[in-house]
Amino acid sequence: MKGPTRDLRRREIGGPDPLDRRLGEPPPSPFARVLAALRVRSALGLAPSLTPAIIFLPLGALLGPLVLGVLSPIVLDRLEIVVTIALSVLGVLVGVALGREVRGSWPLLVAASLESGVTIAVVAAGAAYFAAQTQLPLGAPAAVMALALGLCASASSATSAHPDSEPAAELGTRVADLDDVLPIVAVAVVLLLLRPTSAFDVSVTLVAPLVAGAIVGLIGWLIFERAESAAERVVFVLGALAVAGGTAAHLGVSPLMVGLTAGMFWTLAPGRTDRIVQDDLRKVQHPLVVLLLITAGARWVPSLVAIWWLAPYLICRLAGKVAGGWLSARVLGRGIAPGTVSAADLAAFLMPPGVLAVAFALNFQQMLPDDAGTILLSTVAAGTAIFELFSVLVLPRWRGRPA
Amino acid sequence: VRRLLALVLTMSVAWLVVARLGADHPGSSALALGVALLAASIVGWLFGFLQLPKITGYLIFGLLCGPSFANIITQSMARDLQLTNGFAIVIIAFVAGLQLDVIKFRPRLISLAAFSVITVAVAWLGLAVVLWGLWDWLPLADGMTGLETVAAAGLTAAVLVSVSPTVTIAVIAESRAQGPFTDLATAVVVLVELAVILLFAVMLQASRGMAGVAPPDQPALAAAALWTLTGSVAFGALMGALFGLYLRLVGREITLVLLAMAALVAGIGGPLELDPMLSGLAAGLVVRAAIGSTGDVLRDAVARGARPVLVLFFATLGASMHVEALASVGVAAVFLAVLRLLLVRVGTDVGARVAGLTATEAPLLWRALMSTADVTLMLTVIVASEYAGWGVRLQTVMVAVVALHELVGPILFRAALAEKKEIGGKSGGLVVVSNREPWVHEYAPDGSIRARPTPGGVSVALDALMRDRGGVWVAHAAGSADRAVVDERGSVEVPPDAPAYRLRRLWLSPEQEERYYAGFSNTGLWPLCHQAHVRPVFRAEDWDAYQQVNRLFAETVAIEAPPEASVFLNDYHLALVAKYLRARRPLLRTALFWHIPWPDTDRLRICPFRKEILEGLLSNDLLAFQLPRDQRNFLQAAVDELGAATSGDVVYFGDRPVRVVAIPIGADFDRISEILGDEALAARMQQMSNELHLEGKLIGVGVDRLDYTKGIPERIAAIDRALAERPDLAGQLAFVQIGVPSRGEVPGYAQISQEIDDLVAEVNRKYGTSPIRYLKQSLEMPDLVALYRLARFGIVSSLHDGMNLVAKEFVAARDDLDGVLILSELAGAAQELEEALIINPYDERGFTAAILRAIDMPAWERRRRMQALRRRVAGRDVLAWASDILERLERPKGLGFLSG
Repeated sequence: MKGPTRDLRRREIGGPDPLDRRLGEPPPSPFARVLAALRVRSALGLAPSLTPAIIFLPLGALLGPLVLGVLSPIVLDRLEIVVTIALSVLGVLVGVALGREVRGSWPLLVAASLESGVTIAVVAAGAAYFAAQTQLPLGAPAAVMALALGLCASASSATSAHPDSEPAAELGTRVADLDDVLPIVAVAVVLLLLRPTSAFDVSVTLVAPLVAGAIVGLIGWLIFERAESAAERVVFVLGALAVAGGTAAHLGVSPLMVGLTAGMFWTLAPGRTDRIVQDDLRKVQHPLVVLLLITAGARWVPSLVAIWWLAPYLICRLAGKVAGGWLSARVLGRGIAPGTVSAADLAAFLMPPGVLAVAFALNFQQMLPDDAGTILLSTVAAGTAIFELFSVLVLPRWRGRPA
Repeated sequence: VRRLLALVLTMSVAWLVVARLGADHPGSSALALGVALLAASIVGWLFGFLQLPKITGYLIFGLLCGPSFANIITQSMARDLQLTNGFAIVIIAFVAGLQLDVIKFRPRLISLAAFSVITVAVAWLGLAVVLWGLWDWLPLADGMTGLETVAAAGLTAAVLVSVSPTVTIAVIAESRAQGPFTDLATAVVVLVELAVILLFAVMLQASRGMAGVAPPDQPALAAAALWTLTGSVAFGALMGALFGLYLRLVGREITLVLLAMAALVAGIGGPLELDPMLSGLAAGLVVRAAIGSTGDVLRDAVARGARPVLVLFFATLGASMHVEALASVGVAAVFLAVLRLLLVRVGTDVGARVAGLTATEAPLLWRALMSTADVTLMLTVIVASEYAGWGVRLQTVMVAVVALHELVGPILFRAALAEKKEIGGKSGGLVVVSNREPWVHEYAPDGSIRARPTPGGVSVALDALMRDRGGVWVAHAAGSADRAVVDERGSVEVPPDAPAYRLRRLWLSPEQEERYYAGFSNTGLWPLCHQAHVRPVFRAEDWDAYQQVNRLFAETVAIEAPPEASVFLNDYHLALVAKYLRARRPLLRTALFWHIPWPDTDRLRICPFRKEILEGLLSNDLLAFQLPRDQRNFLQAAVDELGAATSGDVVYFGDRPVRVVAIPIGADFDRISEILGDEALAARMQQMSNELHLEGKLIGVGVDRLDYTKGIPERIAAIDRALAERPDLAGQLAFVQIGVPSRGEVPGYAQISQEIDDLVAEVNRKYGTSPIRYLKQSLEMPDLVALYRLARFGIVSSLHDGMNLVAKEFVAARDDLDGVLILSELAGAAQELEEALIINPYDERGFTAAILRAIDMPAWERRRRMQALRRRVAGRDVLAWASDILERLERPKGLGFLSG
């Protein structure tokens, strides 16, 4: 039977670790029993289990330079390559979801984009106002930081309910998958704001991710299906993702956008490349995404500015998601799924930011000046952990149990 | 062509990006990593195609794209990638440690150690003497005299005699080699490395004394050597023990913890002058001992997952090769490389004689010691730091020598493995065993003999595999002219138009056939495994015949199978073959695919012969079921009935691990696609429409063998209810039911056939318009595809079914993205085809509603569902199924870095 825990982990970090899966349950031991007892879901009867962000962000902070120092600044520098590849992996996952939905259910994309657009607008406006009022030293233009915060805030992961538990949850999950498309595309705008804009810069920023993504997509399409073995295919998939991430980093564009384009290419191209990629990504997605979260946690710096910056993030994101959810539910109600999901329920589904919020922040950290990047990442990482906890502890009661 | 195009594209992207923006850029290491993985893999594949080691391909790729030539992987990129070298060596050594069976070598440890020491000593002595004699002609140092020259020659010889276990182990892995020579080479190369480290430590101290750099410091000498050896082993063992403990106690996030362990071993070991190879090896050995039986699974999984690490390691090694040094010191380098080769060979000959290695083992062992890499370069760095003059020049020469050895060593060693016939892959051939034969020879009315292929996706898939692999197919002969075409061994080459493999027929007496096939298999096992309310009958006589026929199959395979062949047993008729075969040919690897469901333990207890069947099945190396549910049931049965131990998907029965997996079978997607692309399809559809009077009708379709498990009466009753509920459909709906007569000799089948006849007649009488078109015959696949394409909906309403390929074939036929599949949740296919309308055939109201919903479903929803269904079916076709099973069967234990 498909359990909620398993499914949430699959969506967020590609299911259990591949080696865990192969080796099965560890033999009974006192420690394993303690771990089992600590599972919030079984111990306390809460609907959802702890999500990856709740576990690995604090773990990263604990291992990071500020606490235990196991992940020293040098190690974190070396992990940059993992972050870059993980970003392209997440981009591919969104691209595959988009490619599958875009032909059959484009109204859903409209609804999802509306929701994320509202959230971006509310959070960016709130954060800009807050920055103007408080004159916080953000290390970068306030408008850019506010927009970046808005983009990070727009991500949703719909981890508060099992996608198959009810039609509303299924719809919420699909909206959550698609509401990441707009912010990924919008990152290009922020990049334009960050650079001295020559005509070449504009064209590189706007066109290069699409071209790079399409070329990576073409490379993958040529060889993934023809791999001699599963092991060779994993090398190809990993190589393509690293080329996507590395090219993006070289060109100063977003690996998420390059990954998204490649993911769409694989879905829309003839053949079954998208399924192959999706299956093989499960083998690398888990360690990559866990490392991404741990790295983000380790880079967390609890500065006063980051803590202040958290206020508009939390308040405006809550407001933005509620407003965006309401608007999106209305669009869905009139279009493809009348009566399937209420506005309150949809907002609740979209409340957990998930891994992608952290990924956006890490992506911005690669492009923003050091101080500004650290402030943004610290705010978003803390905000993500808070929203995830909120989703675990409050939302199931807010929504009540599904019929 | 596709691979080459991908290679060109990858290199073009990298060249454009690096040339346009420069290499010192954030993200350059990610790009280098991607290029190395993609392009080196493809170049490695090309080398594999040429029967050369893939790792030589990775090295050549690195060399050509590295700073020495094309500079696509620039110096700084190569430096970034080199940071992962220590980590890669630890991973490679760790897998080798998991694989190395020290208990097997324990009785021979002394003789192997003696062999290694003598080999190193002889080679070193010879090299030292020649170097001392020719020192003045070498481009290393001028004006050295007396003891200085002796010291330098001795130290240079110690560097030259070093080997690279990493490369040797990698060659073994990528060539999927296994056997006594492979095991011996692995053990020897590690022991030689230990001996070289000791020798180098001694020579370094001695040279210091002789060259007058520092007085010989005996305690420091001993401590340094001891520290490197014991420290590396102890540190590795400690990390291995901690990892083993983690596996036992926590067992979560194993990949990350393993990567962290390798990073720690490489990161901490480097500054402490520990050898990452020894540490990784020790860690692997300890983990193997700590986790016991689970080690096989871990080793297998790590080995498969480690392939990117290997590709990267060797591509990086190639990129960091400075072959430009060959221009200045080429002659000396070639001379030293050849000299080393000769003296190592002499050393192994002497060592083998003294240590008492047999004539079959020793002759090719020198080739395992040819490769040099990381260890040699590390030693030259130490010499260069010690002797700023000739040491630095030695470093230049050694870089060129290592480059030569790297290029030649893997090729020589792989050739040795091939010569010993220990390279895996296709060499063993394939044996397929099935009840039905893939080709039937029959007399035509005019007396001529015609061969026709057996229909069915499984048969087609296995036939395709056999065409590719060659080998023998053993099957029960059923054609009227089968006996007329075979040779004296009962064999015939097939396919008739382009013979590619041998079909070995065996004949059963009518009584054997009756009792083994109709009796035990289909009156006992079939109803036992299908919960369709038919009582299984287990007669002792049937059981005797079943054993007898299984033994006959096993004896035939034992005679026909080439050495170390892979044997694929197809289905429940052959549950005991592996057991009998193992007694005759224990080295054969066997896999059995069980197509039908496996019952839960309570139901299994009905069978009085369950223990024997379980034992027979557990005599295979791999046992495959359709669904995880069947896999779970079987694992539970092995525990409950036999008290076997299980770990993950492995059952330990006796001393052997048996892997139990779920690999769902797929439809023959390619063949159906071919039929869809055939211009004759439209005409065939029209013809079918005319013959069945379907013009203008709303058509439903059901295709089944006439079997009580298929839920055909339930389906007809549901059609009846739908028509009753929606009288407007009576003149509009035509449901075509194809019933393929089957197993008429088995009681129960005649009864279900009669029941269906009566039901159809009653419904057709009731509505007057004959809404049900019932054809009691089999149709060829092109006709079936035409029928599927005519239908608005297809129904699969099995009461219990292992998979049901009709469901997948219906989807495969709908490339128009139309049509609705109504699918029983009790068919295995429902686990995959979630976008079908899932019904329970026992739920009358739900079944009827699903039919009406399929009729009324809007086009956009039909399209969306079918699109999703087709992705699932295309992604897993019947050829992929058969390949998956063989791939898992043939994957050598513990090997597979590059084998998959």
